[in-house]
Amino acid sequence: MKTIKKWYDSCYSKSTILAFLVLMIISSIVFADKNFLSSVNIVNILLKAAKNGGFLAIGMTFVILLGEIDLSVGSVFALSGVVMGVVGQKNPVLGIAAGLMVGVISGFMIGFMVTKMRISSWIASLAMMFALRGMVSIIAHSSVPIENEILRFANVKFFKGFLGVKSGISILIPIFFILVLLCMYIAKWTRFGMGMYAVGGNKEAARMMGIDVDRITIKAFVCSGLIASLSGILLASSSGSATLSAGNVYETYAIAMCAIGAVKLSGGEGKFSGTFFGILIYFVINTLFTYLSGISVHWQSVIMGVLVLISVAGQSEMIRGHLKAGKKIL
Amino acid sequence: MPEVLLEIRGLEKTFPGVRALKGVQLTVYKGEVHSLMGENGAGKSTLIKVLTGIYQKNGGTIKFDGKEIDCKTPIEANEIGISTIYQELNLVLFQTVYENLFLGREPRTVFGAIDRKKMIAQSEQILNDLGIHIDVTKPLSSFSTAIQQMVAIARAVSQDAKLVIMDEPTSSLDKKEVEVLFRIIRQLKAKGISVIFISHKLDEIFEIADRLTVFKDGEYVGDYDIKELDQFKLISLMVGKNTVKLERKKTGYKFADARKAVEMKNIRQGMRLNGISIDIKEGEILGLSGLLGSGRTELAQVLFGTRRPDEGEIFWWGEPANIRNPADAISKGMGFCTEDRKTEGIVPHLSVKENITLALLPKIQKMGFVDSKKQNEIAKQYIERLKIKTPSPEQLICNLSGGNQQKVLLARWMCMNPKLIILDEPTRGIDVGAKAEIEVLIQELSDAGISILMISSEIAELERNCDRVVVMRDGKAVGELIDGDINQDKIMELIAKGSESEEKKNG
Repeated sequence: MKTIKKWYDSCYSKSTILAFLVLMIISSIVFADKNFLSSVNIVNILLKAAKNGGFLAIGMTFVILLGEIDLSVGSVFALSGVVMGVVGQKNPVLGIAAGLMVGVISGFMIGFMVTKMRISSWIASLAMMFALRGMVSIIAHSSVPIENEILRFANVKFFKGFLGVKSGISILIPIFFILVLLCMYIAKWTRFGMGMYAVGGNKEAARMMGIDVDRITIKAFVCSGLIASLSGILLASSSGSATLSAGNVYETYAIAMCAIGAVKLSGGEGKFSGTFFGILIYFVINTLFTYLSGISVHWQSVIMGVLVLISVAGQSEMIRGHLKAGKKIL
Repeated sequence: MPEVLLEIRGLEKTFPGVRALKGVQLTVYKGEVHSLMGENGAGKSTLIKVLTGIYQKNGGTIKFDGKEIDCKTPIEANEIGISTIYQELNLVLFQTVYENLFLGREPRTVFGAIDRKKMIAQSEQILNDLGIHIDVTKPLSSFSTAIQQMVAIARAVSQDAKLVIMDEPTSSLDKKEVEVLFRIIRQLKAKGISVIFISHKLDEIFEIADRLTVFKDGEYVGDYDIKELDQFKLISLMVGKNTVKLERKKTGYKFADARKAVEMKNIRQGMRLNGISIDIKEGEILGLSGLLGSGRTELAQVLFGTRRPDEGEIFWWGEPANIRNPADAISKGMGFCTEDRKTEGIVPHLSVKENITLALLPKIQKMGFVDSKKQNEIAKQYIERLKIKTPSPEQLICNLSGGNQQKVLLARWMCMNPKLIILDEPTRGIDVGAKAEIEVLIQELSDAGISILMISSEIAELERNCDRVVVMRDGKAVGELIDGDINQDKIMELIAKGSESEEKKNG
């Protein structure tokens, strides 16, 4: 019990985790008749998260921690799948590599514009969002079917029938978990991770301490792009087709999930674990709405909006708490 | 004779139109605390910025530890052993204490991951050596400013700094915290590390500094052993006497029976204001004198509602004034020409006309639209009346000279028909001709029955213009001079004596 308490105290994203637990408890009581806590349902929620923007939120966390933003991830998501499908028709391995390169290149370009040309990341990534979305339709006129066996590498399911999940667990779910753990490791145990918090917290101070601010910024945008690409090809690979409208407005969902996960939008504060719970909250609520057949789905948008506002308000409360604590000591 | 660590000779720095450093010199010995003294615009901070590579020098030599140096960036200065603790701390508040100590030079394990254990252990060691015992795994923001400053110093020490520069480190510390800081400065001294210490609080200088160098208007005045000086002598060196004696034109104090426009009683605010009471009579020009950091500006800000007092009462024409924000103050009939014209006064990319009528807009609008005819009329009228030199009312204000910008700001408040105008350093950075014009204007306002609260670090300016002067020190009023008594010697004497009388009271 003590270790749990210690762990909980050390979590920055306390409020998010608490909100998640409360949400789960209430939902499991209210929707007991729908088997809310059943393994099938939970696997379903996780799969939704892994397919529809959970990855993007994890990638977005890198740039938000820097106090920047990446609006291009939705377009990168779509373009990566399409590029993989088109290039992969001739050479599947090259196709996968090309798909991943989409995010790397676009991330690098945004990072370059932000650091070397001093363009606001809002504008740089907005430009990239439009440009890449256009390229999706230039490269392919309609959905690209993905049939090659290598290209369908993500169409793997484990544990068929395990815990009553007949269809099995898609490989997307373990990949998602591995990604989250990897990012948590990067944030805590690498120079890049620590530098990211420093740049986001006080860019000038970071520069004065000899941290290469530009390098870290570019790296963060490349991470965001790469993860968006990975997500795009995973979806195309597992579903068997790359659609043109994939990932449309997903960047806004990703930002919302980060905000719910208590990642401070002005940078410097927040955790990947926070984003992870932010993603879960988002998709749990999303699932709850499928139960409420009588209520318009548009209410979901309203709820999400309110939720984002509450989370952001909570963040500024936290800062006030810090200031208060600062006055008492010494 | 101790060894010389830093030797600056004939240092020149010019900005477009301003010669900020006119061949100054500075010598700092190893293991001494050296203070840089001088009022605003003396060139202290420019000197520090050149030394630490933020600005590039235009001439002169800097020798550090036996070698000639010319730092291009602060990082370069850091590497050769010059660390600066800035007023705005250059640390990352959200990160933990130990992360802040090691950012940019994190130790790593054999696997390439950051070695947090080692960082924590070493951080504790470094801080313990300085006598600071805190939980280094907590974010820096959970500690007081004083501790944050200590962490910055600890970082400097752990990087083998030979010279630590502290720019007003005590400005936001209370007495106890200052003691802790001084203890640490003495420890640095004992280790042979030199400290350049900048502060406006004379008592602190006399407590901690070994030697000091005085600057005035970008020129070197001299360097002194602290033992050769007393406070009065130091103040006269810093303020300097005007060689050209401008005569005080006023005689006779006419406001003994005038109504009180403002009465501030026992105002306290943070560490800046410690129970000060002043009043301002109708039509009077009241000067506020005191060294930088004595709380002059803060007092004006309390009156104008940009700063909330912790304690104290304010009366406006005898009635309790409930001023919560500048809008309240403006609606009551106050105007405030701030010290920093560029950031708090002018709106650079608006025209002269728009800048003049900015505060007046609510009164010259019709259903949300600006009455441009009225706006033009008012702008023209004030441009003429104040002799603002501008090709047209449409000219962008950023193209005007400092003196004319100041006139525009004065016009902004004059067109509101105010009862009180607060002028914070009204003639700073303004050439002599424009200065005289502005002084005439101020007198005209007073003659028209408008009260003026004038803050100035130029004592001669107060001597020329004020009917009454209140002298401040450490957030308190330490004396008041009327009419013929207002002269430089008496004001400086009051500032210097402020601390002594204080000690007597306490003793």
